[in-house]
Amino acid sequence: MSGEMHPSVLRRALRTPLVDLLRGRTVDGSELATIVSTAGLPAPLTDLVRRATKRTRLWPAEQLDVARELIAHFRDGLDSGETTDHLVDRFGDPERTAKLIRRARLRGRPLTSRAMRSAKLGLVFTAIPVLIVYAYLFVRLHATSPGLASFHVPAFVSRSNSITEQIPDSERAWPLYDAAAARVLGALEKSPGYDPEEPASIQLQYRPGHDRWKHLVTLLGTVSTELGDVRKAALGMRLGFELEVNPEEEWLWLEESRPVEVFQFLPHVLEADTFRALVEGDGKTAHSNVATLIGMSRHARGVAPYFHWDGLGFAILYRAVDTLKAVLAQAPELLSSDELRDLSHRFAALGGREAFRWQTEGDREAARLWWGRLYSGVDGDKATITKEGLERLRRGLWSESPTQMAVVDSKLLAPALPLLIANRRELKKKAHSLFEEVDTQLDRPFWRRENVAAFRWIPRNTVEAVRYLPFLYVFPFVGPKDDELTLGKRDAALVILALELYRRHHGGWPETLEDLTPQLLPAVPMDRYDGQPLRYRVVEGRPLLYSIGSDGDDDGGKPRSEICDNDHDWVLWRP
Amino acid sequence: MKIERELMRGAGPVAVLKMLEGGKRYGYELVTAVAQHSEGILAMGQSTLYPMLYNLEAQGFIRAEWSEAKSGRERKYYSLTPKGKRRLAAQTKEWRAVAKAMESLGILPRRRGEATA
Repeated sequence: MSGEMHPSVLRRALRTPLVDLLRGRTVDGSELATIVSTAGLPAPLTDLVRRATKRTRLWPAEQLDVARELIAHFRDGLDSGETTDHLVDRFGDPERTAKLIRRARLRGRPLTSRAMRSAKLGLVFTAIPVLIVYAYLFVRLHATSPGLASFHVPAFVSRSNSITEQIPDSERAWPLYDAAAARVLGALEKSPGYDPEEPASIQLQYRPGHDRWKHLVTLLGTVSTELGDVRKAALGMRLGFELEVNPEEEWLWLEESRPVEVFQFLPHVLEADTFRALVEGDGKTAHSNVATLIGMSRHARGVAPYFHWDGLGFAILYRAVDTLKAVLAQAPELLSSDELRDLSHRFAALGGREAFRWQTEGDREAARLWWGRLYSGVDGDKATITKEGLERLRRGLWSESPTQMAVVDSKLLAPALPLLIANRRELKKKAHSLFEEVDTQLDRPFWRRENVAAFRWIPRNTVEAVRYLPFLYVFPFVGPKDDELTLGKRDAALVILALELYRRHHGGWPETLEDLTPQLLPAVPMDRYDGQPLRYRVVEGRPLLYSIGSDGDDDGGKPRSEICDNDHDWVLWRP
Repeated sequence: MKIERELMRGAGPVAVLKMLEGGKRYGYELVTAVAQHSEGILAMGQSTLYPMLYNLEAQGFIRAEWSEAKSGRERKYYSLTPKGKRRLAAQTKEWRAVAKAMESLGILPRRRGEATA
């Protein structure tokens, strides 16, 4: 009880307004009660003072001041001979009095107090509409569901599968690739020296001279049938891969599917086998393997019209060229002239610039399907992102942008996200312009491409990063140079093969590349970096074929050094 | 006679200021003085007086201080500030002008010594 009657200084201080504290004064509620009850006024007046004072809802110190004044007033009235009833009657309505006193006292408060009160009121009046809007957004978010109610098969999938259906099973390359890859991997895993801790692709990259090369040679000997199937598939069959897009799958992309594993694994086997052939002087197999890599690169690109599959096909072609270069560098006479001519035809048959162009149809279609899973409504309307869509984004999001991560992870912000993230129409419009930009850039020669960022969507600011969040999954992370550079690499292979054929025929290297045309080369290919003919000269009795490279300067065929600098060329052939 | 609230709202503060012109006074004293001098016309209860006093104080026309009377009783005394004095002078002028207009309109009787038009 004593604690209640005599509150601690701290408690009094906590209950005292700052203004009073600054004046060195502390008050508390019990002080008011004491003063009123000990005033010695008749009960009706005591009650009146208590009610009127309490209802002012002023600070304790202010209430105390009002109470003391009213008490003094009533005492004076009583001393003057007024009756209690008369004083009560003259007092008027205590509630109205309290209200008027409060209003007047508030006006008298310091400027800072009034400012704080106005701020508090402003906050309350702002919070109310915000809460109403938030509640509306919350309900709307939970009431909407993705508009893609029924899954539809993308057009390119139907088209590709209708072609595949016409290919007899016995003429399909894919089943051979698939089975061969599985059996070779199985054999590798059982082979002596196999390290389960190391990726299989790494274990296929040991070369003559390495301790484990002998194990690899043994393995290759056991899978000759499978490699025969792969060669047969790549050299004479159509792909025959049936695309399956499962509506139950989280992602509609086809990247994680079996063909990726197969088209990444088998080229390693073929490369290793080519080195085995090189050691054993088996030109026929070496030729066959390079030709197989060329065919396989075409098949990989044919899986689906995505940037992703182009990238995989280009990578295989790069390896075909590098394998050929390794063979010619280490055993120039291993391949017959007919085999060189055959490879030249195969490289040439891949087509010109148009054939190397990035394919975007699948990416566009995937974007449409993906957004259908995120947004309400139908394609093209002003549909907003749904709760399910946000969860999909949340599940799969990995972004370098902390803002993007924070926005998607925030459950509190979720109802407002349909306002922050672009609606479907806006997203579609933006995506269309980005894809158009990609097309525009692809139409230009590589050295005239200006906006490389168009190949990968990069937000210009935080607002854009949030507004176009769903782009994260649509625009593939591919290098903008790869189509032109692969073409450059392929062109280099044509020149290398022509140079070798020239050497065999003339007993030495030509002075210029023009010497190769038109018998061995229809025309001198252009340098992808400036549109000029590829650079060539004979240095110390050996050919040097190069492109000026990314710095755009002819550095005389200077190869890339260990030191990272731009002052070098892209050396294509220096046996 | 009970006068209109709006009229009281205009007349009350200037009456209080006028009562304070002669020196400091406390609440009950002011109520009594105003009622006496206005012959009960401007009589007001606490519900009118104290909000009015607090408003005048908030506007800086009067100041308040607690002090002990000779009787030993603590009272809150109000006094005019210089700003309050100016306010009183200005309002006195205004009320005179109003009274004159009322006289001209025949609402108030003309004061002796003033020429008729």
